[in-house]
Amino acid sequence: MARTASAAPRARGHGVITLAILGALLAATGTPDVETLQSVTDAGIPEPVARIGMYVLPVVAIVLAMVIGQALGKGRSVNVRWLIYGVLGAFAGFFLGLCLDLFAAVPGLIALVSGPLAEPGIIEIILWSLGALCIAMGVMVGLIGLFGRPAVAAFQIEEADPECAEVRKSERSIFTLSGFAMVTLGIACCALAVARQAEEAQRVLPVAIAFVSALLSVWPNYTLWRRFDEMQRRHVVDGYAVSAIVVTLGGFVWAGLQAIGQVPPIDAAGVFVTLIFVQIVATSWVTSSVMGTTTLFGKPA
Amino acid sequence: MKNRLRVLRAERAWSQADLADKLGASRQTVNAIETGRYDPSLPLAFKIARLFGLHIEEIFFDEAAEAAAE
Repeated sequence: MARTASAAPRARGHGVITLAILGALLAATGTPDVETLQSVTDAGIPEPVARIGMYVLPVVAIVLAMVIGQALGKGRSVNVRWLIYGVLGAFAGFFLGLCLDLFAAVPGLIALVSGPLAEPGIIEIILWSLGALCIAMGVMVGLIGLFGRPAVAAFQIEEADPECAEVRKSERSIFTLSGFAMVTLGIACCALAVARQAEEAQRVLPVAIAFVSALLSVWPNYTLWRRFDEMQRRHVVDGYAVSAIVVTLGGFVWAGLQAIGQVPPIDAAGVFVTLIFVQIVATSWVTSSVMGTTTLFGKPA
Repeated sequence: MKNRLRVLRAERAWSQADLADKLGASRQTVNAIETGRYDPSLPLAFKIARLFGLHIEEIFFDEAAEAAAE
């Protein structure tokens, strides 16, 4: 029997438990930060205890951030609640970064393919960050596509209307395609960062990986566009319209400042990361404005 | 623009997903129309009207025009 949204009971998700598991998995990829470990042992804490603490405490901080966020946000508007989550989550993330050097094995694995990498500059750091963000979000969205409602319940931090938690078969394929598109974009960004940091003779392979990933992402994006209905297409178009305005204005201001020597020249990679970043922010803003989860900055264009 | 979509849907005991399937749209679109966050195109508005056997203006209301008329 079909039901209406208003008649349905609200369902509790398992977001905090999921975050704890993801946080523990993330911590497991890291090694204790040398400087922080030194400071802690200098304070008189035995090294084995300090090492264990630097793995355990960040996970506790992540869980606490969410639990405190839920308590502080109770009865407040959606914007205020997610602002609280964002601020507390940033503190937990900072603490995690202070304690552990995450993905410690990755540089070694990349070095096997591309040789030793130079220190990353600002563009490479942004490429790595964007790539990691896209891959993480892509995996999350992909899991929703593969497992449907159980995955939504697992990621849900707050109580949700069951009708919103429901993921139909047709929607699951959209989530799967979106996840694939984001992961391939993420891989392309990371491969581009590797290419820029590798020695000149070792750059062809990472560039090839970046190009293949970018080409692979065309297929899910095209398929998604074909399957989107009118509102979803409008989200995409609005997102790109906002991006175009922001990047054009930003580019104009940058060009002016560059002419008087106030900012450095920007290369193609700089333009690319700026575009991708602005598009992600703009599309998320437009989409969430229409879906009613973000109204903090007003209405989309 | 306001509309009676949620009421009409509830009268037929349809979920948003049921209505989305009948319209060939996404559930998110149905939700956005119901909550007034998205105004459908004319073709979709006609499709909705046909589905409920009503005229468009019996489902969608232009509040600004009504206020001006008063």
